[in-house]
Amino acid sequence: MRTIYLLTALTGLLFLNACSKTDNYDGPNASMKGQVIDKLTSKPFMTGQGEFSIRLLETSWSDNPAPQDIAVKQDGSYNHTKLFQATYTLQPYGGAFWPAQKIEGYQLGANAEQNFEVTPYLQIKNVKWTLKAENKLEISCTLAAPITGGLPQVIEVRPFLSLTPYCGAGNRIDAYYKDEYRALINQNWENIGNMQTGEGKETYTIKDIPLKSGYTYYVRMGAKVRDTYEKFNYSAVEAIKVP
Amino acid sequence: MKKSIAIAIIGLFLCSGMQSCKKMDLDPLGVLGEDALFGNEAGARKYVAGMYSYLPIEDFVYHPERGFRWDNYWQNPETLAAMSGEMTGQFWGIAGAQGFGYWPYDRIRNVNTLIAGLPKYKANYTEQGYNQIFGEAHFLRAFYYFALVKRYGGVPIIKDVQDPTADKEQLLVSRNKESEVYHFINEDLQVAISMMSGSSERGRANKYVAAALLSRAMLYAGSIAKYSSYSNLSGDATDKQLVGIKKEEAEWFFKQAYDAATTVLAGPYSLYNKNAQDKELNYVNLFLDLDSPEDILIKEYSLTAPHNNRLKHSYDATHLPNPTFSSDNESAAYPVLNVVELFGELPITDAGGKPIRYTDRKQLYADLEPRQRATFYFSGMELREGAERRSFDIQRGLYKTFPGKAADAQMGAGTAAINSESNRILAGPKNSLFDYNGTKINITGEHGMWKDGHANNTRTGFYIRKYINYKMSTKDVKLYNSTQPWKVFRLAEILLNKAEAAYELGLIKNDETLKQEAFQYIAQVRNRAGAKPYLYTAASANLSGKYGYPLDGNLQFIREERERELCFENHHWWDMRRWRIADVELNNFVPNSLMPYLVLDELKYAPGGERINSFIFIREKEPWNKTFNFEKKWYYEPIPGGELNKNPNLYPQNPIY
Repeated sequence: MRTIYLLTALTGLLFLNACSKTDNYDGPNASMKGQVIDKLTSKPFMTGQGEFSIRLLETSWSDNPAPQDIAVKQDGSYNHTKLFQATYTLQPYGGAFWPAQKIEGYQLGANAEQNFEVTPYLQIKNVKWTLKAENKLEISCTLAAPITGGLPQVIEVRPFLSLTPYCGAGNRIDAYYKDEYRALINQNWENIGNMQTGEGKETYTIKDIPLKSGYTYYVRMGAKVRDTYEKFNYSAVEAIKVP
Repeated sequence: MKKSIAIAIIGLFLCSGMQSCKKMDLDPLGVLGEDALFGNEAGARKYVAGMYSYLPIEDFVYHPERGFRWDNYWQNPETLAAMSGEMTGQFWGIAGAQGFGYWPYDRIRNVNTLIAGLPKYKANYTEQGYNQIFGEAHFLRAFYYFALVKRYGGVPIIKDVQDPTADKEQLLVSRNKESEVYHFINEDLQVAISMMSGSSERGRANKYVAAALLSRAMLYAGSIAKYSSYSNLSGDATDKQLVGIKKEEAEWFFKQAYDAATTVLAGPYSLYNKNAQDKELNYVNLFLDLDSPEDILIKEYSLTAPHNNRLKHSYDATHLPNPTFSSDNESAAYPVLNVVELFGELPITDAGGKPIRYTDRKQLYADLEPRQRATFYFSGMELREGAERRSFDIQRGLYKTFPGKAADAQMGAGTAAINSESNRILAGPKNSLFDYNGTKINITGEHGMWKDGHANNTRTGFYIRKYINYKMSTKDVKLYNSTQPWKVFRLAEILLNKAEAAYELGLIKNDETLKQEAFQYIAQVRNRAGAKPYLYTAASANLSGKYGYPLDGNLQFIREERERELCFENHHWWDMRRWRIADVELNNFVPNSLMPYLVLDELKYAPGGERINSFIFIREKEPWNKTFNFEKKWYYEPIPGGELNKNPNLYPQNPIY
């Protein structure tokens, strides 16, 4: 009887061998990094942390691959270390710039570095700020459009404030992201700027932003146009120490 | 011996399974076959009843994030109105904007089966009976496709019964263009209109119901054609016109909407006016009277229907405060001041900007538009009969003194000097008393506003009145206990459809007569509402800066009239999408509230000792600061991921997803 029990128990073991086929494909061992560069200034593209991405389409296997997005950091760089070695289509995607060139048939080896150049919709220029009485901030800027023909409507200009150097639409003090602290524009470029030179005619000033004494604020101005993604173009981040 | 008997029994038992030569291909008993269902009118009636039950009607039990016929009835206040900024509430904001993956091709297959099978049995019907059911099937199919196209844009058009064993290539159907789907809806509804008669039993389609759907669908298509380019949704789906319609098509669609509305207006309907003397009561009853000449199609409910039909709802119990007016749930959504003010400004400040003083809160709404009073419960209004009759008692708190302008309160900000804790007294969550020079005075009202903005009492100063069944007794106001019918189509909408289509056509064709004609229909709606007539001017204000596209004051008025008349009826969300204004309207939008306060140093006492109150109304930001935002990708819902996996030909996905 005992042998029968033993045999029955051992028979069960036979079933455990069903999954013996091993996965002999390589793991995701490729990495890729690079920089998104502003075509006009040849400097890193100014953006906020994770506000747009490099879109990868792995075309080796299917015609309709699901896109993979690599988020771009505030300094315009990106880095991904767990990709498969394959053929990809690459494109900077969903940011505040004119549609960027696709790189098709990109053979990703073990280590790759790839930079992208993009043209921003708007440049934020002449950012000036003053701290008025009662620690009220007044900040102003002008706009310029590198390409004026076909520029979508300009929606708004607004300041972004943060308590860390990471500053943008995703890293902001919400209390300042209010209608009273923005310049609503909703105008085509021909009404607010020069179509030939691309310089804006107007200075946008945001007044009476109450700051707290003793803090250091990191501030930048942002402007957006009515394109598909409605992301912001930014000025450089400036630190404001409130006495 | 025992063993062999056991073996024999087991052997016999096994043999009993060996009757392989019996014919298995039998018609199942208890399942109705095609001939029973399509072969006579009663069968066909039964067949379509099932389809009506699943018809995508956004009624009381529709949940934008969970779907149709949603069973969690305490979630009834999570409506499209709580997404569009008409209401704000307890937990839920805009979460349903990406939908719930609605993909009713199983139901569409049922309709296709009916359309394909019916001609075989034509001889069994009278000609009229056959035409009626054949037309009705086309109406049902159009209804499903309209629910799809307004969510996703272009979807595959399946008009035949697919064979599941067919080639894979045939079964993996690609998406059609958005415009093609609207054209298909038009074709189906034209068939329905031409074949059906002008009357039907309540809750079922007839010629005019089909025309009503046509006018709504074509109006949507027209405005998408006219405005979709302004929202700049680029991407593969746009390039292939799976979403968005070419501008040139706008005129044709608006004309279709206009003509369809004309067909309905020629029908037997009229605006509800049974209580013409009391326009306020008339407008309230419009939503409760089962026998209203304004109803084109309604969905009825019944407490005795089996539960899995989802034919009861909780509208009353989830919109009224407990325990005074509801004995089960509490109010979880309430109208915002911004929508109340759409009907006309409230008399809350005088010419100098100081708050007007009222001895009684009822005086605030005494002279307002009857429709406005019938749509919202203001503080001081009464509800219920007999011993249960009570007033809505809404009071935010007390001001010891309020000498200045309303603007001094800075939208209720705690940092304003006048709102210091020693001057503005708030309390809650329970009612508590304030000792003012020896007199105890209630700090808050019974139905809000409490200091922490207690979730289940109003935070905006209003409760909804539209659709509330005032005839119920408070003890009956419970979950799963409301049965007032839902208006799927009512005549006022058709008038507004026609007005909008006429005005848009007038703009496209530069035709002044058409533009003026639009305001005939607006006048009818406003007259019944008891609103002041609108003075049409050919040169109305230029509002192009508002949304970044050409817009004049007249068209804006037509749109606002639509919101006034149809608010909380699950229209405005779709309207904001098709006009492409949602990303502007709901950009960091924090609703406003209207807060009644009692000013203590102005209290007087009559000789009899009775207190003479001094109320002021202050406009404040909604105290929870609940913010509404609309992401641009929400102009279309994403094609459900599971469907994309099954059928890769559905790619490309809608923009920005």
